[in-house]
Amino acid sequence: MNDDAASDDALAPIRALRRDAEQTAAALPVLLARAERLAATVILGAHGRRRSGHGETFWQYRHAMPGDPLPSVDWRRSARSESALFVRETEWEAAQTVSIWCDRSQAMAYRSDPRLETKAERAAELAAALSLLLMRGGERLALIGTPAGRPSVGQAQLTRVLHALVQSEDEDFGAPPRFSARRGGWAVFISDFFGDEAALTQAIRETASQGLSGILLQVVDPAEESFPFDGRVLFESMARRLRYETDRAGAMRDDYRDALAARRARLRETARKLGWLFAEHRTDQSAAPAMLWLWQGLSSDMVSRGGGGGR
Amino acid sequence: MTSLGGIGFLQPLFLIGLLLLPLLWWLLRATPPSPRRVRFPGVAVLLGLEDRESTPRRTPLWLLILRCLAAALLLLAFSEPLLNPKARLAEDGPLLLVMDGGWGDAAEWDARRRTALDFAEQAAERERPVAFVSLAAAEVAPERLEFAAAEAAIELIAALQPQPWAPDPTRIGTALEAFESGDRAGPIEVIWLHDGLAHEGDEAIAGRLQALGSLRMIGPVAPPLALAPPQIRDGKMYVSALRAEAAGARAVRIAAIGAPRASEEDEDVDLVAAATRAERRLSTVEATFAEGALRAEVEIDLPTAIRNALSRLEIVGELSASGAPAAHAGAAQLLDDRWRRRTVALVSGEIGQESQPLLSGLHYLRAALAPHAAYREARLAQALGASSTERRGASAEEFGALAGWADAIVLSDIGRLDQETEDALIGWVEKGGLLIRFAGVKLAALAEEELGYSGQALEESPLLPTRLRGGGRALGGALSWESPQPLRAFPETSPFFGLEVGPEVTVKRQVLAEPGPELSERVWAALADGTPLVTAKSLGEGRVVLFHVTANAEWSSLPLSGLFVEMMGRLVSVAPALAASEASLAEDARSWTPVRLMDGFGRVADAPGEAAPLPGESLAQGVRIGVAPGLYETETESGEIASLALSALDEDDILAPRAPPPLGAASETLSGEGETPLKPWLLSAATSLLLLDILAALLVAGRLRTRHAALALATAAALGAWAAPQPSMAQAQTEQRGGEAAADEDRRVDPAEQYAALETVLAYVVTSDPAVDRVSSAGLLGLSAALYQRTAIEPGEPAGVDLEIDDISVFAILYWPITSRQPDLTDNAIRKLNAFMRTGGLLVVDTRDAHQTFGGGGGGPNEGHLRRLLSRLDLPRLEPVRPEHVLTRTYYILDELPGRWRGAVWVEATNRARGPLPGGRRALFEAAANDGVSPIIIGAADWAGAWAITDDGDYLYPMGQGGDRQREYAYRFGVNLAMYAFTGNYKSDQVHIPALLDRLGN
Repeated sequence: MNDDAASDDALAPIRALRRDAEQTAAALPVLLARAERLAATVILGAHGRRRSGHGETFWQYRHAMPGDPLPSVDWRRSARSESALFVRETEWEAAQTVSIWCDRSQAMAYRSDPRLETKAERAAELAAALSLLLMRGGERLALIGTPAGRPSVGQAQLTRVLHALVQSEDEDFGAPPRFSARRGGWAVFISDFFGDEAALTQAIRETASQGLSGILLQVVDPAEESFPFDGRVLFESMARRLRYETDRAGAMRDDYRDALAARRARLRETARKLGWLFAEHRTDQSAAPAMLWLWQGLSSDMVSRGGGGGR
Repeated sequence: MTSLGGIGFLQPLFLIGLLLLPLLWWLLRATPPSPRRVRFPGVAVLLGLEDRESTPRRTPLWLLILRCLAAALLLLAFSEPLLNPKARLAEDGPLLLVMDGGWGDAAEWDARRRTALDFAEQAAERERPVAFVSLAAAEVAPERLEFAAAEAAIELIAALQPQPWAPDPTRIGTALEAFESGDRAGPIEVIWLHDGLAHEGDEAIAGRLQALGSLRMIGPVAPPLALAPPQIRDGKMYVSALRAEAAGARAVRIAAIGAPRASEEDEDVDLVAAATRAERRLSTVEATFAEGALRAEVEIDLPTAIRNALSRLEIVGELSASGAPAAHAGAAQLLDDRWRRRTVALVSGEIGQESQPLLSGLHYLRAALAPHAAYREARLAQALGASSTERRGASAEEFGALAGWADAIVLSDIGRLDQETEDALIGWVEKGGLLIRFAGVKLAALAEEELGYSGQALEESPLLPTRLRGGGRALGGALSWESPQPLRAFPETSPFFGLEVGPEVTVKRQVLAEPGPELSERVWAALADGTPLVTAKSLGEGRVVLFHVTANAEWSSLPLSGLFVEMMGRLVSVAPALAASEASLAEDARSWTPVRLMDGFGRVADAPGEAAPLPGESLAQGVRIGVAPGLYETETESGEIASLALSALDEDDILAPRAPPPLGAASETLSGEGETPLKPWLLSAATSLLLLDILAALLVAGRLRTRHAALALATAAALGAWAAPQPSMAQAQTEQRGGEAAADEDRRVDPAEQYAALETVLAYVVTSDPAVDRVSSAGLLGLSAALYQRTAIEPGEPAGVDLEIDDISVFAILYWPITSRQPDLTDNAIRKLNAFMRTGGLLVVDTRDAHQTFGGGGGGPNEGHLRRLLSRLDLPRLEPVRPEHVLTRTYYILDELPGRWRGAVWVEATNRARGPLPGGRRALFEAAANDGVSPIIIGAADWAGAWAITDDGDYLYPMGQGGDRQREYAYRFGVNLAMYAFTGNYKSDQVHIPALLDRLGN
């Protein structure tokens, strides 16, 4: 009996690890399935990667437009026509590096109604779907701040990303970690952005300064927008590190909404200045539009920069 | 226990907690309700915000009040308040329970006994030794008071009944001496439940009890009323109610109860006589206590025959403080012959004096008797006086009837009686009658005649107190030098003793008595010269009294004087000497056997067989312990029965309130109601408030959403109801019963119908005329009472039915008075009535208008309405009741079927009325349907009016032509009717018994 107890004690960490692993493994197929479903909506809508870009395979000829650099003109094709110049476009083949930061802090674990997904679930779903699409497109993928933080391609990297997505952090609020990436890459930040504003702005600026384009997707719970509280309330952050007490929460509603709007406006302004994209997403909305927006934002920008930038 | 108004507290210490309420108030005020904790990531956004609406963190006032109220209720609940608290024992040590136990306690007996039991049970819980003593117990006074386990006392108290006599507090005097001499362990707690009336020696005993330890005297809210024996003054009967405390004006109802004899013309001696002699309330009078008066006197003014039938008087409707009827022996009075108003028969031998009334002796007799007695003149003058032999038999018979009702007979100047009459008269006197004779020409002639035959006075006539000398004498005539003689003062042996003899009374002529040895003791009044004026002798139980003068003013001026009136009054009052007066009891050595005894509650019952006879001198001391009020009888020397009624109070008794208890003793009042613990109610109220407080706290914290609020309120209400005091822990059962009740709801029966179905109930049709309905109800009540008394049918309260609404199938008889105001029947009612008649119901239709028709033959004003209402019914052919109809002999044999009026009665026509059957056979059984019982009886005699009685048993309406005799016949018809309805043709079947027996024999 004692032996059993002792062996129990010895095995406890392993057991916990295994239990976590099993939970994670159980969550993974769910995440994968949802991500695939979400990704499918995007593929059906935009035909994915089959578009012009950096690459070696011919994609299409098009009429040269003013501003097209001269070397891009395909003279052979242009000679066959009477007057127009044609530009030869290749299919986009260049592997891009997309660095995703998905906030997995405690604050993301919030949901105001059990019928809703938590913010973390929604963010992970979006990030996973995005990863899935990127992986199929052969892009280099990194989930920064996690073991999958090194950009890589392939199924293995996707698996690592998915594993990382279903694990949460102990932090109360999340902030994008520092990371280094090759210029021309992409940064996708998915978070509620309720963390320290200065740190967030700092992180965005640093990322941008490395020459990365970026997309900010703010995922919030409906209650975080509507503030449906009343009476005497003690508000606590999810890890209980922050507190705020009021006697008449109802009277605070307008102030809160104003403060939230101001915060978003500042964030949007920051993004606009850096040429980044910013969007808001509520967990009570369907994930598909947000996914589509993410994908379109990512690819259109790539097109505009990949084609136009000539890099 | 602490008491506050009608509320007592078992744990008064908790009340001190109420002082802490202000502290609680302060605490609650300083401690606002805890905030609701919400985990909310948006807090990061909030952090920079300033809370502009920051209110002081205090509890709202209404919430404070709510919570303090809940706390106060809880404290009150735990102090265990009791509404109408039971008296409780205060101390330890031995407990002595003293109860008066007399008739004064009977008024609130249940409350007293409960209180005493409570005490004893409390003592039992604490294992205190208890002694119980009733001061009115019939046993011998206790020598010692034994303190024993309380269980013994509980048994004693539970079996205790109030005694019909007053308690005697001095009885425990000797027993107390043992304790007073120091033979006790410690102080004794004494509780004395008394009746609020003063009794001899109670103050001294109270003082001695108080000295034993502590004394609590518990009395009623008000001492009971009592009834003094009635008094006869100037021939009228007065009764007095007594009270102990001179309070404000108050009226008391006194009921006169008796069994009136069947009227003298009623020659039936069967069941009827017995039935009508059942006791009932004959009259109710109201005596009013003037403000501050202790005695309220009222005259009981009843016709002589009814007054003579009274057997008792009692105070009715007296309610004790607790609302229960306060019947007790002190409020009831039994009556015996002493209180009867005498009836005197006047028989005169004078002939042809009617035209000259002042010459008639009867005139003076009437005037003299009127204040004292009822009198009736018997028309026997010729029969008794004349010698015509053919009238002899008739006169004897008539005299027999006379003797039936007269207490005294006055024969004014009647000489010879025929032998038969004389025998009857002698027999009557020997049974106790008083015969008063006046002399006159005929009596004088008789004496002369007898003397003439033999030359000397003959054998003394039994109907004359003395032998008479022939001729008499005349004084103060023209040929006499003797002047008219005045009267001598009355001798002590005379009943007239004490009356003033004035000089204005003179005697001119008289018949003389033959001197003899016994004469002197037979003289009740004499003239100044010693010659007797009134002589008397006993004859059997009765007396024969002779005035030696005439009843008119011819021979003397006596009949003109006031003295004559008083003398007649004295005479009448001694008339039937059967009833003994208490004064004469003192030297009465006869033993009196109790016949009917009263218990403490004033109920009269036949004395138990083991009730021992008591000597007269014992009764003379009145009711006391061991001598119960009641009716006692003894056999006189002649074998007659004399009766004596003893009452709880003597004529000169008064009621006095109990003296206040000695200094230091507690005086309390008996609480009528049982105690009601208020704790459960308070607890449930507090629980409800606390539940409300939960809601309120939620509201304050903003956690209350409207749809939750309704749910919470409902829960609170349900919990409050659940916590409300249900009898102890039987909640599960209660709920179960509730479930059953709900299940029963589907098949629930109207209680009125249920009553009608379970009881035998006479029913009447409710018409649209309330006055008629009242008569119907009262009439059926009267008939029900008659049925109850006379037959095996024991009906309940009559019921009124609305033909349109009610189910009439549960009744057997439906009485239907026809009024002009009843609207036509609906089809539904017609169907019900047809079914009722088809299935054996009896519909009695009464148009009540026979007095408005010729000879009761129909055609009265209501006949049109009868046709209107009955036209659509499925009626059989009708015929008038034939003399041989079963209805005339189901119980009584009747010649006619009258109500208040007389009139024809119609029933279903029998086969005979329909003509002979084919082949000339006569139907063996007359009508086929319903075994020949007519489903409908139609008449016009206003039967209900004849039957109608009030709740007090008085008749509501006078009878039409036939008087009470007809009322009796109306009742008999009613009895026959009920028998007809319930037994059908049973009687007519009996007609065939001889034939059946004959056939069996063959």
